[in-house]
Amino acid sequence: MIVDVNTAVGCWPFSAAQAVTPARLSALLARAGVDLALTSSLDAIFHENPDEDNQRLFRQLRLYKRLLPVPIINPRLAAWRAAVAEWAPRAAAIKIVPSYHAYSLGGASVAGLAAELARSRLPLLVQVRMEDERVQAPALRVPPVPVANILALAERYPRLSIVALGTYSREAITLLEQSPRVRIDVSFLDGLDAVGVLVRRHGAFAGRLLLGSNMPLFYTQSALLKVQTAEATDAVRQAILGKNARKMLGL
Amino acid sequence: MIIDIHAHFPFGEYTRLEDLDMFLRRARRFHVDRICLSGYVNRYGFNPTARQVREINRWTLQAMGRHPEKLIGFCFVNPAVGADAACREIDWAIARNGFRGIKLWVSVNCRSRKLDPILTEAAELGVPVLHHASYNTLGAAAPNESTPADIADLACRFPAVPLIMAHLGHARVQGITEIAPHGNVLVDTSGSQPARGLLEEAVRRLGARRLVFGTDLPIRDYASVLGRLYDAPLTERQRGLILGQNAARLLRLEPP
Repeated sequence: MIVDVNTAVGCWPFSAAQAVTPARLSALLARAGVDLALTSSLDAIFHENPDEDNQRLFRQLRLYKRLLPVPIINPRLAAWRAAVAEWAPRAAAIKIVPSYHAYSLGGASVAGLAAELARSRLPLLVQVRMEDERVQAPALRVPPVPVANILALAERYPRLSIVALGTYSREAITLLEQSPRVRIDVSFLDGLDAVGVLVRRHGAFAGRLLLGSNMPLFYTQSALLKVQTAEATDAVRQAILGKNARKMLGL
Repeated sequence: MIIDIHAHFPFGEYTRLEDLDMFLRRARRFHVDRICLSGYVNRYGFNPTARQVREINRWTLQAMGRHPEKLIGFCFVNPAVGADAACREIDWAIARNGFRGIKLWVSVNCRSRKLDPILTEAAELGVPVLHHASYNTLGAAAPNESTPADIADLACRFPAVPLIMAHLGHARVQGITEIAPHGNVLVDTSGSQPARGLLEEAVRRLGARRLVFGTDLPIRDYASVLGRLYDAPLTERQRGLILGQNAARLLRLEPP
């Protein structure tokens, strides 16, 4: 079973690609051979209060078994506890987008959310970046989440399951080396056989690598091929393609 | 036939000739038939001397000698070393050692007339010029880095020379529109991340005959760049042109 932990529906306003509906996303993932995907709303990234976007996401995704809804929570809002209480029982994970909702991972509100998720054993997906900063729209530059802040959060909440989405290889190595618990997706890893090199040099990391495509901003095949063609054992490739995610999600 | 028009060896951590094996294993894994090597362009910074340029091209020649059936050399040239030295380098590489193209990077912006003798040589020899170009929101990577608009200027001055603008991923839609009027400019598929929609936009505005498959290996991998080509809604004819037919035409390669 192939699991993509980093997908979304909606429109990315800076992309040359058209908006992706749940039906279209499900069809494209099916064509690529992806069985399950953690799916968020792109609209929720741009709205200060993502609640309506989360409502719509859960409503729309009911029709698509392949897509597991992942709400985006903005812990700066006073109502974040209510939002978590509403979504957590039905969500596979919770996602936060600190750079787009303009807060630091070190703030008090994130601490409360982290403590809550550690208690409920729900994974926290931290979107480190959505785009290569070099090709962002010049007037709308959004910095990545510093990996040091993710490490600090992981150290403070050892029972919290954190997935850093969208790290470059050097950031991924820092996270994997310095925290025994943080997981990363492969969406932004690049360089000659990036996944294979990472696994060969740091074999212990293989259990914390997850397939993540950043679809619909990126092509699914690019992420799949990074894993499927990695110079590693078949067991390692299968783990990254799905087993690691299933274990994390308790599927 | 799949031809990677844009790769570098040696480069970064891959400096030993044995490291080439990994490149070739990767190429075989993705059914890539030929790889064009543009040299270790940043080995001596942005502005290498004529002697350093020769050293870089000798490394390319060494790699070509090891795998002549697979590797094609592009002669790295620094226009700042002067017309005579630049033309001597091109003569050494292309006329005497079988390189099939010229590579220009960031030492001199391509609006400069310092490029004119090099492009004149390219026209006489009938070889393509692969030129770095980028729009970078964070600022230019080098003081004289060329943009797609600069490439358009060069294309105007030398309409008979096939120019390959590197890095579709960094050209953005703005860059695609800037080179669109200049039929002698092609763009390679390398650069940045596998952003959906950009390749389709380039095919729509330029036509599939003006795109060539290139990775910038080892900075990018075949997985990332071929993933774009396999996932994008292109026809088989368009895909075939981009993957290798256009490059074979430029490089005057026989079909396998």
